Amino acid sequence: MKRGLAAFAANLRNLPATVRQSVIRRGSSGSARNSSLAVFGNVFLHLHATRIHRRTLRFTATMGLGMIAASAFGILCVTGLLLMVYYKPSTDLAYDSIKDIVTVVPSGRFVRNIHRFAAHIMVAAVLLHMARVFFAGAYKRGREFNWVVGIVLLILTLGLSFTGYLLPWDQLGYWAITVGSNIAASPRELTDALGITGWFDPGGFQKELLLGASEVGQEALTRFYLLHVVVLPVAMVALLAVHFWRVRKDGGLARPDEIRTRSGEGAPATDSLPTAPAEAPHKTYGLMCVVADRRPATDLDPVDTVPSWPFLLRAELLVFMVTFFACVALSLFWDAPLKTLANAAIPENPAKAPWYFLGLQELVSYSALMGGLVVPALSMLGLGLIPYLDRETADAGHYFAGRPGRRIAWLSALFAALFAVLAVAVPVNFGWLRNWFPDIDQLVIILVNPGTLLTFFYAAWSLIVLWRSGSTRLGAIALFTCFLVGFVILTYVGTSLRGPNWDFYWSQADWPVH
Amino acid sequence: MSTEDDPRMRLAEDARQEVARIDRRISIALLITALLTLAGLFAGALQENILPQWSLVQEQYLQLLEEKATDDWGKQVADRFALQVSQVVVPALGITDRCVSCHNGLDDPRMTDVDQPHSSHPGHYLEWHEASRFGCTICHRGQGRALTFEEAKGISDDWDQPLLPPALTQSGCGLCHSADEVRGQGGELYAQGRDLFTRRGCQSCHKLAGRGGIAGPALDAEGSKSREALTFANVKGPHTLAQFLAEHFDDPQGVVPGSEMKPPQLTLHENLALTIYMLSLQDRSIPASYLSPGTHLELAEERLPGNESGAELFSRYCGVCHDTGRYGRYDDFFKLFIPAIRGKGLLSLASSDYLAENIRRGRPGTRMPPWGEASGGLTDVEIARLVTFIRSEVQPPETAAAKKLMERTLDPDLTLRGDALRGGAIYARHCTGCHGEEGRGTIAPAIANPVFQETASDGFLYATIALGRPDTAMPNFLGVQGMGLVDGDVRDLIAYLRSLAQGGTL
Repeated sequence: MKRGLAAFAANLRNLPATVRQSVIRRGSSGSARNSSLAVFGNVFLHLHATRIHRRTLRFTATMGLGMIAASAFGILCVTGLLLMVYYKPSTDLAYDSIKDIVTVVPSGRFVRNIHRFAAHIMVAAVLLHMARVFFAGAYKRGREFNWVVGIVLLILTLGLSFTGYLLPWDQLGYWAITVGSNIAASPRELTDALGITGWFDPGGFQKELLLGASEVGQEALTRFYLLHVVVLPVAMVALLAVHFWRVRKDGGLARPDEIRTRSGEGAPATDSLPTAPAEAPHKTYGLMCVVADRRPATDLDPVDTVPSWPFLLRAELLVFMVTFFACVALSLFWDAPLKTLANAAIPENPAKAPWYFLGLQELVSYSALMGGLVVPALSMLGLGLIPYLDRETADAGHYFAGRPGRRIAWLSALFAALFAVLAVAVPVNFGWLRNWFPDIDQLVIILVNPGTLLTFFYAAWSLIVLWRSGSTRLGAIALFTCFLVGFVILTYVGTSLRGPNWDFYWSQADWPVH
Repeated sequence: MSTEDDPRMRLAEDARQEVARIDRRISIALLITALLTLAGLFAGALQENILPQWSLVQEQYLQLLEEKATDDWGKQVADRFALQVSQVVVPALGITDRCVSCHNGLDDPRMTDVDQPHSSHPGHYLEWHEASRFGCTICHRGQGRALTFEEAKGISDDWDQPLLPPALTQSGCGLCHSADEVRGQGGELYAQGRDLFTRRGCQSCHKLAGRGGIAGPALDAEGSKSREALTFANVKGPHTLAQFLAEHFDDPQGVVPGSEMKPPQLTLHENLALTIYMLSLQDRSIPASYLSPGTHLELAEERLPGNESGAELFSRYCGVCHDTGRYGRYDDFFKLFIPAIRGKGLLSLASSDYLAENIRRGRPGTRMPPWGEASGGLTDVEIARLVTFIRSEVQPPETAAAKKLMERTLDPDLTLRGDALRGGAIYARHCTGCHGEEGRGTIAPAIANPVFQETASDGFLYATIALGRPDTAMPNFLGVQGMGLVDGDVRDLIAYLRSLAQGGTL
């Protein structure tokens, strides 16, 4: 009995230590083995490799863009959950509940601001991350599928932001979604021109599927709310896990070959293995056998690797902190927009979609079908297929694949900028086919408009580059650069230079007074 | 082979140092951003929660309470005063008003001599308009949910009902009260505005509750019109609905280019009254239990019109164009001759049925809209009353010739035959100047309009042409005293006029 009490007392004394051990099943020493155990002993951390190439820690390797996007997503989940506490997804109550969040809920306005800015940051970071990965050629050598996963994540990100736009039920969101749903209905352009809408109406079907009615109303709000808080976030989390896990399975960040083998440079030719450094991983090889693949860290020289814990995690925490700080700082000075209550009788003019869709809206102003569905679908398809059509592996991990790629990128940027500006400037100054030939068939305009021509010229340019250089990688660089520069310029035009009736204005100060 | 000489060892050491360097930088940056973020979060929490405007106002108010606490009751009030957000929620009116979080002294009679926002509500309104039952924004407008003065005013982009200037608050009376009830009770301007609205004949062109003309927009929800539905390009003052209305009354065409509204020519006072009345016309639904007995009565009358006399109906629905109706007049604004519908010229020819039918169906193709129940909203009883009023001053025909003509007029079976081709030539010479080509009307009424063609008998046409319309610009055309037409000319002319109806030129 006395022994029992003593044991109990001892257990009580050791309680903090035993609890800690039961949760974190490793010793406290900072040995390489324990660092590795820390990672693969943790269900969340084990999405990382246990050891990473030390180059990964350099800023220029990733610029932290993927992590910024992931951090923003995390911030969005938390702030979104907080907003859900007060938000009421009903057309009668939604606007008032947002007003309450902004006026009386403690820190409600702050949390809503953070949510808004984190959403902007996430979209921007995802796009930049894609550009970074592309220009580093990091979609090659086993990473093809992860590139496709990334494209899907991009679409999910845009979908999340778009569905969130409607929820405040104000004029801004209402009319942005009305524009969006009309784009969904745009196949009618084609069916109308062919005169078959009466019995074959995929556009109308798409719109009704999106809105649950013929106009934006309670059904649309319910659908968008479900998509925004359940369907898309769940899909996002699942695919993010795949995305991260594949980064690890595909051997971490893409690296140029010479970096992979640099530690061997200048080494005396000798058969005998040099003494392993103290921090060489002991367990990794055994674990990796299961994978039966050369790509994971097995082909790395131990001296070039560092344990993920704590080095990588610290770096990731820094990126998160910077992202969070940016959201907080912006939220202190600017409020998230909220306009008057949605009113179906008073259209916003101009009714603009969220900024990242304004490049598309610019194309949509010529043809909703081409600008809103066909061109973006082709772009996404083209982006997704890049790794399968460009199979060159030599320059993976090199930004722009070296000097020739850099040259092509600059040339393509110039070419893309010129044609994007022309695609806006020509119609603004001289009108388009309808002004020149008033009786022209609408089918011709659907097919031949600045948006489709721009797409055609970009594709043609890339094929020329491909043909002249004989390199699929350079062709891909040309195509992607065109896509990126066109996107940026058209987005700028749609955001800043378009006013009421989608007319061209150099500045919002010139808009007619409303 | 020593460690220093082994190149692999040297490389490993370099690598280790690089990693350590990067890691150190990361750690320092992490510390700094973490502290900055913490400071930002702290500032955010402070900004919204620790020092909100309302709590500062309430602390000031508490001081006032303590200063004014001269007796036990006053001390109790001061002791019980808790610093907190307070609000009035009236689900029946859809109101959530937090104004009372800062306007704490509204119902405290001791606070008459202190400044806003602490002062008590002026007048005695709150005694029978308890804030708990009505809220504040029902009369004052503004953004009731807001908790800062700036947002409560609601002048920014995100609120459509900005706080009304105190002078316009009377517009709230009209939501529940009839004009007569609030006259002399603080709602004079509202009552005057309503009087102006009926007296000036606004409903000649504008519909209200389904009754009125069609030239202008219906005004049922004018007072809750969204600012986004208005164009403020020509409004000089603040971009609010009230300002828009006031400036628009002064100069309709200046504020809305191309407006067809005849300037109502209001004095400053009348402008204010009419603006207030317009603001009271809202499409918000008020539960029946909130409506005053007078309003219930008015609503009942609207369903069962009405005890308005013919004279009242005439000024309300006809006055803007026909004025008194005694004389034909050239309207400078509409650029039209307006018939003297109460003059003896018409009344000595036209039967009451003719008048009623023309009022009921209007004159398509002219400015005269149909007034029957389906369109203008007037019941047959009211139209009969109007006809009686129009006839009230009619003189019987004087000369024997006129009497004879009138007899022919009243004979519906009398058909006159003539040569339409020749009539056309006469029409071109004598009539086109005022009645327009093919009777389409310019400054004088359009003769080709189908209702006129259907209701006017040949005798009526003959008499009108022959005798003209005394008191209007229409001269007599028959004989040497007139424009010199002979009987056959008039018949040919009538034949031509009838051909216009068949030709369907309208």
